Amino acid sequence: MTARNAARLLLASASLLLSPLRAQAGSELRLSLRHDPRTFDPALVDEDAGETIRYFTGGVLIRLNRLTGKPEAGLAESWKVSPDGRTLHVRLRGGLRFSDGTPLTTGDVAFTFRRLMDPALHSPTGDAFRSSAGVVATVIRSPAEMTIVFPARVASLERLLDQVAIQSARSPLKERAVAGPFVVNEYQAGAFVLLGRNQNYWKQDARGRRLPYLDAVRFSIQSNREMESVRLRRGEVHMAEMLDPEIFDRLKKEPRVVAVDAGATTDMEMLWFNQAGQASLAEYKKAWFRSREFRQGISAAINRSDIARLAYRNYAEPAYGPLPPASIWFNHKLLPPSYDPEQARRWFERAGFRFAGGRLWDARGNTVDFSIVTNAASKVHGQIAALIQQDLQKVGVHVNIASLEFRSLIERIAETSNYEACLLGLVNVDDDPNGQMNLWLSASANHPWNPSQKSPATAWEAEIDRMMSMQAATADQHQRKRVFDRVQELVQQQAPVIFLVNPHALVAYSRDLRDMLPSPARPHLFWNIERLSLANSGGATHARAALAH
Amino acid sequence: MNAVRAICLVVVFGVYACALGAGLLTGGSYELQDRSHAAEPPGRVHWLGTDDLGRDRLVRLLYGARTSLVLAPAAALLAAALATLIGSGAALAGGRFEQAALYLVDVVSSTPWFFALLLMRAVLPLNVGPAVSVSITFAILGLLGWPHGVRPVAARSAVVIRSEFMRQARASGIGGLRLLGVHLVPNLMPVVAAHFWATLPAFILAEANLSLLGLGVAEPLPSLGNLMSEFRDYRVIAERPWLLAPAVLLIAMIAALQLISRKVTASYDCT
Amino acid sequence: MRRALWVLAQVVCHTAGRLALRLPLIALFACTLLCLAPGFDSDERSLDIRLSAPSVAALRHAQNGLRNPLRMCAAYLEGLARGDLGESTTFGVPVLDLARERWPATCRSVLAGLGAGWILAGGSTLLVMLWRSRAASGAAAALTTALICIPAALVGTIVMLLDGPVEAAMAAVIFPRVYQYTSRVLAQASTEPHVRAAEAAGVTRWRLFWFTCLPPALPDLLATAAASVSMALASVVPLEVICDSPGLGQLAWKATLGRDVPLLVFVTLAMAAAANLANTLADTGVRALTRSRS
Repeated sequence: MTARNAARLLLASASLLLSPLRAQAGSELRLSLRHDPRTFDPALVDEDAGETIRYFTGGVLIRLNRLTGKPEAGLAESWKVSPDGRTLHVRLRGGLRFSDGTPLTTGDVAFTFRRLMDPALHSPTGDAFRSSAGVVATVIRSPAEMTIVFPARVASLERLLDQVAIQSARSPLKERAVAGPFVVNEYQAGAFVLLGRNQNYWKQDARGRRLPYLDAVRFSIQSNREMESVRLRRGEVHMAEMLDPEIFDRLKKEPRVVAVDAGATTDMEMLWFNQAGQASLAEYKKAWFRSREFRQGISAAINRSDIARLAYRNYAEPAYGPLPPASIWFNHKLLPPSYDPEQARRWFERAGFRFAGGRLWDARGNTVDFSIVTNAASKVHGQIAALIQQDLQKVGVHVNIASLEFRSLIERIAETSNYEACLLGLVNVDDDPNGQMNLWLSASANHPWNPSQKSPATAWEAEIDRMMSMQAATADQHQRKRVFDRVQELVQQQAPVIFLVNPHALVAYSRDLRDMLPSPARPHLFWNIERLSLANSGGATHARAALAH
Repeated sequence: MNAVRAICLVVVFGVYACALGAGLLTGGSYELQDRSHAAEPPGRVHWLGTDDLGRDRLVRLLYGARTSLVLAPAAALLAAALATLIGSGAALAGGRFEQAALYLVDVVSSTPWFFALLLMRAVLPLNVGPAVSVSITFAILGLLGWPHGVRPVAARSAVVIRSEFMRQARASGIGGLRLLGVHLVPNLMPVVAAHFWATLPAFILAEANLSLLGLGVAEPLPSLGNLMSEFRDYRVIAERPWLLAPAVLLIAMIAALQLISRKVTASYDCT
Repeated sequence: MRRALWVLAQVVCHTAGRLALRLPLIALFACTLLCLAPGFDSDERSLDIRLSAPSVAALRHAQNGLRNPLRMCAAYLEGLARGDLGESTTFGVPVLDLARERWPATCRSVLAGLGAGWILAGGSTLLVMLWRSRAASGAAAALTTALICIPAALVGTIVMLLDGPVEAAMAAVIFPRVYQYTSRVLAQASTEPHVRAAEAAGVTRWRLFWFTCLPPALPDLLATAAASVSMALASVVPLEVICDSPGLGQLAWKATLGRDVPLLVFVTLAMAAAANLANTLADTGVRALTRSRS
């Protein structure tokens, strides 16, 4: 045995002794959560970690196939949505039980929806159903059949049901009684969440075997993305989603890992200017930011291809608008994004700006400079800001980058309106226009450039308000598409938000996993969790691999 | 002057000269992005390669050295001066004053100053230039970095105060500031120097961590701290060893300065 | 024995007295800084575009009115007096439960790290002083300088990558910093006239170190020990975060990011108490030593 092999054997033996995670035996899937779940109550879940746990444990009436985008039967054996989009008839499968053995009936479905739709609960999932005031009505015909009547039309009702985990009305375990493939067995705050197979899960495979195939799922709480990738390489975790481009490129070289670029997501990186009336900005700056020509000039001066190439290592696409071209809601008549400094200069001149001494000046003799606030913890945002800073310098605009801690950033953009321009990413869970309602409605608190308006400040914002309300009120999908196309055109013309890139979904998983079908839609890797299985188990694999060399 | 000390002096002056004259030497700007040559290894044009945005690493290293090696020693000096003043003053005054000083040290060193730094960022205008922002960062580090040094300084002061020559000085009628400045403080130099050399690299590195809070050096201005924040995985360094340049420069500078300073502080020993 | 018990009782009373005087002020400072810092009543959930306007308003309203440091501090201290540390807003569990789960990991990493760091620093200093070799001194200085120049978070990363325990990372952080103090203090002590006289008289280097150089340097070393405890407590946060060690340091970081008042104030007070205990012991020792020598 050479010294090198002896060292490897020693290291492998030592690592086996020192690393309890690697010594896990059995069919246990291991992955990471970036932070602790805030709650295990599926109705109140409002962040990534909680939504992941809900996906694993929640039994839903309808599950969306992330590859085809089509709804598939879950707890509901069959369903029908009325033409006006307000009524849902559901027939449940027979013999359904929660994880504690209590029967799952239409009474539980009614309880879930009544609770979800209670405005006092402030559930993000419930808010997505609530397009107007009013209570939800449930009519129970039998333990298996019922009708749910919503106060107003719910656009994309079937897609939204994918997020509604049915809760038990009677179980003493309350939200801990679940109907999904797994159940929470143990949670240690800041350390891990351990799920076990739900022995009462209803689903079977084609051969009549009870699903899920996995016995357990262990989520370790790991906020450090580098360490997550190291643990994936070492086999301590089996999969990782939302990888940084740099980490993804390194994982591509790993023989034990499959790294997949699942394609452009509906997420986007965007830059917008503060147009709020109450903003504590100089009046001349407010005038700049409210000028359509100024915003168009800035947009034309930004090289989106370089952002996709350099900041995202080509794992992003220059953005046309609020949706990527792959989306069924995308308006194919939109002009492609272009980098044209000459066109930018023409826009500025049209707005009354002039160039002198390498700087851009407004009509009042002020040099054009502003600050961009962004999230200090995000390396990618820092790089995008630096690229934008250089691009705008070429057209005489001086930009100062102010990277802020995230909560400080939220305070400025959402509460005090004390900023000039903001660079931030938007996570789009669903590309349906209704999912972006609160982005485009001028009265919304999340209307980025001028939130919570009592009445629309401009005619085009009033037009967008009207269009968004119109698409929410009609059941005709073609009509909705035409109306949302118009919204996209208006947004491109007025450029209140400068869309930069749509990042790709970068994921990686262990070669030990079977039936992996990565999807650009969330969740990218475990959307078919009940069918995933592990080829090998335990840390002994690593020692054998070390000895084999 | 021995050969080792001579080499150290050459290293120190050479690095400072290159750092302060970075603009003249390189002719380039630390923010200039050569986007068609991004993330390249060292070559004829870019001697240390380029970063992810196509910026020359050598140029950024020299400007980063300027930022860190001028401001960090100033901050460390400020922290050491405050620790010396408070520690020696407390020991000299003795009694309740000493207790009060140590009380202040305990309270200040226990308070989570993270939020004070956030507050400072909130107070600063968003348009403040990177040079002003980084100067304020290091000033804050200096103002917050003194508590750790007070106890060793106070303990050493207590020993020196009881020495024969101090008793003689007091007996001769020397008191107050003269006693402090001429007789006490020079004999604290080894401890003060230890505090200075421990905090100097810590301040350079703390500045990189402060970038996460929105303080620290803002883009595009480089510093040794934020240049070293690229070390996250040893495999990156194995593939691109030139990334180690900022760390090598920092270690060489600190080591050289320490070797020089040992001679200087030894000459202060009058006991 | 009676004298030792008397000294111990004095130390305990002294520590308790110091803590009683310091902790309320530390708690008040912490609450004040928390309240004044930006983002205290911001919630990233308010950026969720699924939320309706009333839900966003309800989120913001929930935080309003809590931004009063005096009231916050008084309520916390009153709860502390009753043994109620409050409930963590980040984890949704009582802070006392979190503390019970987490303090052993932090204790282990701090004590083992300090112990290993001091053994390495003391051993290196001893070797350098015994050998009196420039090469040895240079090598030790080079190694400690290199280690000081590596951020604590990176030390933690390297140790994690090598599958090492967090205690090793702590030792790697403490050792070079302590060596800087011990080597200088003992080097200076070795140049004292009485030490030179003893050496000239033929006393061995071993005896010189233990019986002539070390005793007068003890006050400095005790003070350095107290300072090293503060260094260890400061390093415990980045190390536990990087090394994923489920200790109080990891809690402190999450509490900071989440503006979790009960948890953050508790961790601040716990670390302050530990640092104060170390400082009290050091101060008592320094006073005893300087009194005995004067």
